[in-house]
Amino acid sequence: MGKKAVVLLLIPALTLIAIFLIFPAIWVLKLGMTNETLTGIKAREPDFVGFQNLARIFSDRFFYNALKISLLFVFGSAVVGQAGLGMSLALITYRKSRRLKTLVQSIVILAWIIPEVVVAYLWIAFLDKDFGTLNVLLSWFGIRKINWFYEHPIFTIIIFNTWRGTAYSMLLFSAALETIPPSYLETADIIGTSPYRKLKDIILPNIKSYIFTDLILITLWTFNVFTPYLLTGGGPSFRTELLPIYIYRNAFKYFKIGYGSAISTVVLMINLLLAIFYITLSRRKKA
Amino acid sequence: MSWVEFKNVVKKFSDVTAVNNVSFSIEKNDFFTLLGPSGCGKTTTLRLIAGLEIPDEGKILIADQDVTYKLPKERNVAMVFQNYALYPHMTVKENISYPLVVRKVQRQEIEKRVRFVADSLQIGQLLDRYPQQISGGQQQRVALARAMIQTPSVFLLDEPLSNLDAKLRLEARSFLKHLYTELGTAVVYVTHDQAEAMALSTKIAVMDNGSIRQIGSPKQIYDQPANIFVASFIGNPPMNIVPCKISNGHCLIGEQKFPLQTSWEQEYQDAYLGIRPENIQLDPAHGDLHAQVFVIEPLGVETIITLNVDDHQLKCLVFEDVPFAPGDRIWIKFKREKIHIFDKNGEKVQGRLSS
Amino acid sequence: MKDPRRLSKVLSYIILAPILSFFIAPVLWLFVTPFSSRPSLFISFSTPTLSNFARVFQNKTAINAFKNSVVISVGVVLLITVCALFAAYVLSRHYFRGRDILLYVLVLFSSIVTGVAAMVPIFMLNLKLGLIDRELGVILTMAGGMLPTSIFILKDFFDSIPRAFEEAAFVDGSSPMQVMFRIFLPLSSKGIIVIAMLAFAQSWSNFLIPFILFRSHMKYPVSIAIYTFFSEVGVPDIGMISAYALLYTAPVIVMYFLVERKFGFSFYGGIKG
Ligand SMILES: Nc1ncnc2c1ncn2[C@@H]1O[C@H](COP(=O)(O)OP(=O)(O)OP(=O)(O)O)[C@@H](O)[C@H]1O
Ligand SMILES: [Mg+2]
Repeated sequence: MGKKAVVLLLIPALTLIAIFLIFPAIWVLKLGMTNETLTGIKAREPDFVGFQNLARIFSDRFFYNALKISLLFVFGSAVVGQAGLGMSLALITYRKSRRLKTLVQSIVILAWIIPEVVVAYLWIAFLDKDFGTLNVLLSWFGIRKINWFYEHPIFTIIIFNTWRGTAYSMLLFSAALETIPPSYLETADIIGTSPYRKLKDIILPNIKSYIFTDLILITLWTFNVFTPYLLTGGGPSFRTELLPIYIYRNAFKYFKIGYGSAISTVVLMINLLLAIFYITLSRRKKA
Repeated sequence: MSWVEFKNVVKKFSDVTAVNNVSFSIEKNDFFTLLGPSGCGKTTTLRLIAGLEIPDEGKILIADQDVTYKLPKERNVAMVFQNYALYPHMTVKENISYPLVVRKVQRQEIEKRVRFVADSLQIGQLLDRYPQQISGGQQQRVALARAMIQTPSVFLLDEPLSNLDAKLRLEARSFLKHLYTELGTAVVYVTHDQAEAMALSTKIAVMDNGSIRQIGSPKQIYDQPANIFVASFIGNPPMNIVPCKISNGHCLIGEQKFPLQTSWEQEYQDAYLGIRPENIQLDPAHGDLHAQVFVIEPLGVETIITLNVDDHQLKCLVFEDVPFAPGDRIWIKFKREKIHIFDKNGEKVQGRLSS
Repeated sequence: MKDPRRLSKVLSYIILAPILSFFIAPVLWLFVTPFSSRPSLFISFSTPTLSNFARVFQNKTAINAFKNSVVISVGVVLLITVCALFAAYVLSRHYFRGRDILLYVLVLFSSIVTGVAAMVPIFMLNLKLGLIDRELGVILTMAGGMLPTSIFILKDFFDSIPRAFEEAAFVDGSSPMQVMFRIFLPLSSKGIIVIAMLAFAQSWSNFLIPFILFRSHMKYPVSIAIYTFFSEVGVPDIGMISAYALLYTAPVIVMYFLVERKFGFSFYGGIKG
């Protein structure tokens, strides 16, 4: 293949990626150092303000609020919820019939592939205070109706996101378990190892690298989830305002492009750290 | 009283009958080998003994106890898998001691027993390595050590030599035979290699398609195969099997015939003659049948000669110098007492009356 | 009990039952309510009807949004398939200096630059390019974001095709283009179907990009239309929304299970992220 052909074939993809993926990520650094807005004078002639935005972020109580909620959200719904539940499901269906496994996976995957706006509405309906399925069911057991989004907002979006994303971890862990030769556990069966020791001594050490991979990836993804906005809009009174929602509020409700970009920069840096961590890990696994 | 007993055991996997009405019994001092071609149900039989599979029908007894539905850990067996199943994240020592650690044996006691089995398997110097850092032959010994340390009532070994290269395999085979005398209890061994089975076993069960076709000592299996399947599975090169007719105490092969023992009485239109290659003698001048030399393959100690007899080919094994060349017309002679006659279903015919 | 193993089986069903209920309960509504003659937020079974669907087809906004979604997704699928096909072919079969760095950069950026983290610059870029409120802007933005993953999936497929095939063709005097179309295309049709379906499912489901790039109601794809249906003030037509949501969701589910059944799910993470 000649040089010309190589370039010609690469150009369409690389141009698109360069303009719509790489350029925004770099441009945001510059935008974050201006006081650009969408309306008003600063929309036409933004000033360069350097690190002022960044400095402001670190004394912005809404930023800390959003950061705290994001961390809670990631820890609760990804690390504990998705990875925990995904691992449990993978373990329960491990060494069980194909049929059971397919059934469980199909159900859990459904929650994962339905478009986010539909999922959001499903949960709004499910958790509705007066008519939602959950409260109606609970009332049959004499439990009072709970306004989930107002009384337990963070808990609710954590549960929601656990439901939404468990499929990935479950699939990854199921695949990881399949890589353990059956004879490892059969040897343990013959020896008389307890289920707990099998998990600790044989299963976990053999799928360690998959667990790290999973944790990094779902942390990265969960950190970048926007769906809770469709459920709560960030409220009540900013109690579910994740970092992405905070960016959205600044840039598209208050039209503060410069400041929004500065927060984006912070999020991108966190993403970068996680991604480098992930790539290094997966390279080492291959080697 | 037998040590391990199968009573009409059946095991099905959806549409495949992996083990079909199998019965046998093993004594405490037996080295019992399940021998047969790939997919005949050897591993399944072994897993049934271990309790890794549960039979659909029949009974399994170990040390006179009905263990048919017992869990693997309640059977006091130890198994060495084909891939050895050594845990890659544990050192050799941790692997060997794992069964005792799980059973909460005292540290000092573990230490002592690990030393002992490691010494008797000559792997004492490897204890701190990881399984990936030792050779296949050493891995196999570590797997054996992990089995030995459990002092089980039965050792179950699934093709433990098949992962080794040819040279190591011979060495490991001799070692295994030596080790067996130290184990002091029954071994059930799976292989598809007839030479391995012959060399190691006190008793062989030849399996085909889920059923046992014959059980006996290596000598019985070799000298008195119960059917064509066993006859042609054992021996290298295997027994010659030639279609023939039996009448008037004579055996008719193609157009030629020769007398069997004097007192042979049964008559068969469709039968098979079986004769091992080493039981055919060649002679330039006279014998039972006329033949033509087809191929001569000298192998060092012995020579394999392929002969054409009418439409049939026979292999014969000669340990002396061969004074023939391909194309030579010669005579062959069968050792009378080594002739086997099988009926058209392949079952051995006991036609020999006292002569 | 004859077999002690049965106990552990029963135990695992006992643990599974509530977990599966948790996963099914919210989705069940989506499959029941559209056919209900008295639709409400509670899952209630009643005499089945298709009137909810009829109202969807009478709703101009709903139908229009469907058309918009089709336009966007078809655009993204075409763009992705062609660009990824070319790029993956070169990256799999041609070594040039800097290829490994290029691959590294692609992996890195595709995992850190999410629509969420980069929504501000993405919006500003489209603004400067005059692409706000235009399908083209949404299509290009989505395609740019999804391309690296598609390229990797396809490159993996290409990598698994033995070189002997194309070498034989080159010996016969074929040109690189002929080799690509006669050999790669048929042998990797699986991979192409996978990335095309993925591109469809992702662009079809995407909410955020059209949400920030479209202004006028007539341009809204289904995702935004549904959002406005249920978040606008007033009493929402639950039956219509649910029917609409089901129509919108069905192609994604069907596609997913088609791909899964046909190819097995070896491309974890591909569908998301
Ligand atoms: N878990 C299983 N599910 C379905 N079929 C099985 C299973 N295990 C074994 N079989 C089938 O049962 C038959 C016997 O298998 P088995 O493994 O016992 O054979 P084998 O004699 O050990 O063969 P090999 O020498 O190849 O190891 C085969 O047809 C096999 O395909
Ligand atoms: Mg086997």
